[in-house]
Amino acid sequence: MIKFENVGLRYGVGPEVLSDIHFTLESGSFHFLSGPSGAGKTSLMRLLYLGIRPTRGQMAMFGQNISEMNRYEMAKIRQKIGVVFQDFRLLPHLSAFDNVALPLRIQGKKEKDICKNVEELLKWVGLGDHMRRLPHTLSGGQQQRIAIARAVVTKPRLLLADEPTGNLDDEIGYKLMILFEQLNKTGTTIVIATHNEQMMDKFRHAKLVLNHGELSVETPRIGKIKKILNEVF
Amino acid sequence: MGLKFPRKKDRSLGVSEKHTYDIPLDKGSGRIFLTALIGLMVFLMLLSVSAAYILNDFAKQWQTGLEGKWTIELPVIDENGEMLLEKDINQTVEKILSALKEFHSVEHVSRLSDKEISDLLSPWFETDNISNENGIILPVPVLISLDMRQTGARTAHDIRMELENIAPNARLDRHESWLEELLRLTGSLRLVAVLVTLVISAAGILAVAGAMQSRMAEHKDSVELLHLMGAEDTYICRQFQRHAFIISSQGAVIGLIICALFIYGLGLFLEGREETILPSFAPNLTFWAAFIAVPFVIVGLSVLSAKWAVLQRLQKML
Ligand SMILES: Nc1ncnc2c1ncn2[C@@H]1O[C@H](COP(=O)(O)OP(=O)(O)O)[C@@H](O)[C@H]1O
Ligand SMILES: [Mg+2]
Repeated sequence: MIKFENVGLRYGVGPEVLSDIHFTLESGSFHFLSGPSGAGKTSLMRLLYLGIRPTRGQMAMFGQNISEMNRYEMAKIRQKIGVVFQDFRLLPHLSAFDNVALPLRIQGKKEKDICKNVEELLKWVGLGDHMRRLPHTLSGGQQQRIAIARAVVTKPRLLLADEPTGNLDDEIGYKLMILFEQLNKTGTTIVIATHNEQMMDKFRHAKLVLNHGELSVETPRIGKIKKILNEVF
Repeated sequence: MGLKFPRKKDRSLGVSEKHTYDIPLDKGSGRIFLTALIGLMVFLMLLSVSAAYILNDFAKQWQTGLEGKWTIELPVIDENGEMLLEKDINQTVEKILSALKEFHSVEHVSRLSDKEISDLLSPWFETDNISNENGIILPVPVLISLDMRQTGARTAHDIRMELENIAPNARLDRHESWLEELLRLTGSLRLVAVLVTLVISAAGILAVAGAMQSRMAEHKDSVELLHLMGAEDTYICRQFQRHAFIISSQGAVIGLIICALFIYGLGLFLEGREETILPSFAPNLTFWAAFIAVPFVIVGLSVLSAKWAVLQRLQKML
């Protein structure tokens, strides 16, 4: 479903932040994207949600090479992707409800269906009492849950979450991971950037590991062997 | 819906209002200036459209009023500046009248009475005392008016030859040069009015386009977010178009009100000045149609220019 070949990225004239990225994500897969801070996780996410173009290499999304897409096709692809931004990017003048409803409105859904879906989802993430509140009056954790609700409300084919549990306490973080797993079971492909080792241990999914701009893939089993080896030596 | 929208006083509690814009274009400074600018534009455009229309109407009235009307002017003073005797003048006039009656091209010929002349002159002198019981005080020439069947150069030549015999100092006035000049003047004024209209429209388009692009820059993050969520260009554009529509509609109403007040004031100012050299102007249906069309045209233009400006910027985004 997603295919990167020799993808490289640099910002302006700076050094390459990502180089020779090579991987394929199957439809319905679940991956963690890990790596130390500054390794390029957010940059890779940006490439995935079509926020920037790679400076070199080939990128195919949903079977389409992005260099051959027109603006309309790009918009349609983006509608299939749900994103939880690292800094949330909620619209400050819109209520929690309207923020979550936004992607549905963009897709031209009926207002009646929007209301039902959004209310249900906000209640589920524990914000049922705060639907009309503006983001700045809510805590960081609450804002993050709005951001997550907004990303999943359209039941996207691909969900990208950039450190989505960073501001959440373990219990809510755990609950949200369950939400992602449920979404994954309905066929959504999921990539979660995180450096939360505990989380990755608990939910054992394949890992994309970024280090100095280079990517390697670890299946859970290899990860486990590595860990044992680390403990032994 | 099940959800109650908060009242105004709840806003300070961080409770949002009813959803209207994805991008908060309705808030923020600067919109008053744009509204006022569009109001002024509508006002100026209404004035210049009216001016163009009225001038057109005047030109038409002058043309039809003077067509086929020639005048013969017979001076009442000789080369030395001495007044001619009334008896001699009358004799010459009689000769001219009877000679011209022989012409087939002349339908009707008559001498203008003193009353008619003073009526003609009064708007220029603002007084009725041009004449007394002894006749006209000023050395106003005798005027003979002709209603013509034919108005060609040949006819004029024949009449001039005839006058040469009877009264060499009489002058035939075909009004053509005067009328032509007047028409040229109104024609160029009308052109100015049309140009003013065009310049105002262009200024309006640029002002709205510039304002929209700066609003876009102001809300760059929101625009980009909508874009990343897969909003098509038309979706984002619609937000700005609606904003432009609301602002320019308000401006148009303001412009109409200013114009109505202006015309009312002008009416008060001109009241009682019945005597004017200008023909009367009665607005007809076409005039009102053009008048009413102006605000709609401005609103339409501003929506289109908002669309154009926003699309222009969006095309540059990935
Ligand atoms: N918009 C940008 N312009 C220039 N450099 C950037 C930008 N975003 C990130 N970088 C650089 O790219 C590198 C990777 O950053 P990032 O992708 O945010 O890593 P991570 O999310 O893993 O912490 C860092 O060195 C960072 O300074
Ligand atoms: Mg990051």
